Amino acid sequence: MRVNVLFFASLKEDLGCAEIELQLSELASRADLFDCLTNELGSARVAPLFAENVSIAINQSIEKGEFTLQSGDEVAFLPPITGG
Amino acid sequence: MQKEDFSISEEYEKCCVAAGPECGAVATFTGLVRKFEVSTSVSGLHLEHYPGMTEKSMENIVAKARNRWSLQHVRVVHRIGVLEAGSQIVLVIVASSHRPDAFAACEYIMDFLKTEAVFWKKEIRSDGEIWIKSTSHDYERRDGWAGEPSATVKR
Repeated sequence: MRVNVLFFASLKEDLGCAEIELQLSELASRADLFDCLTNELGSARVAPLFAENVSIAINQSIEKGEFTLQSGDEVAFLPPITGG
Repeated sequence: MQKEDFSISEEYEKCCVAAGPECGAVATFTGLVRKFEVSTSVSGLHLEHYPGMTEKSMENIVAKARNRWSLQHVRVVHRIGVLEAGSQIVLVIVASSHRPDAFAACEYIMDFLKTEAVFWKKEIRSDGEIWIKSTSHDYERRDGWAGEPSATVKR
């Protein structure tokens, strides 16, 4: 299945891309997502995504724990936000 | 949310009209791009957002404020894109029957915009560009609202 992954702000600059489409197996987990990103982009490039203060949103909703992805999901990696 | 600048007086008028005859207090807050930051001159700010999620995060903050205080109307304008130093970034206008609710809700909305509204700010400085980080002070201010039921409780 295909899943679209978005990177914002400092992460977009660190990774050198704003989004990537991944081919994942059905019901891919958080670990599967990270494995696939590492395979696609390389471990050095994806290192910033592993930082503790990086949040993951699935279809625009923050997911702090485990999750399973479905075809067409939009995954976003968000660095700490600074609004206002 | 908009790229263009906003007029405080126009937004104030819209708020007063929407608030209706029970409105007796309007609190406003405007955030600006600072020209100096820790002895470094700042020429501007780049504000990035996540279309869709950013709007939802702002609506959620306003809903929480409306749930907590008795408010006649709330307007929040947040700019995105590249803003020059000295520019207006954000406007919060809160209308209520009495001033304690208006003051408290205005401050509450700003404290949550700082920490929960989905925006990222990059400062364009004389010595380079740097993504701004939230401070512990920002989180302490947000967390200071936990458990306080109303504006009448002293912070």
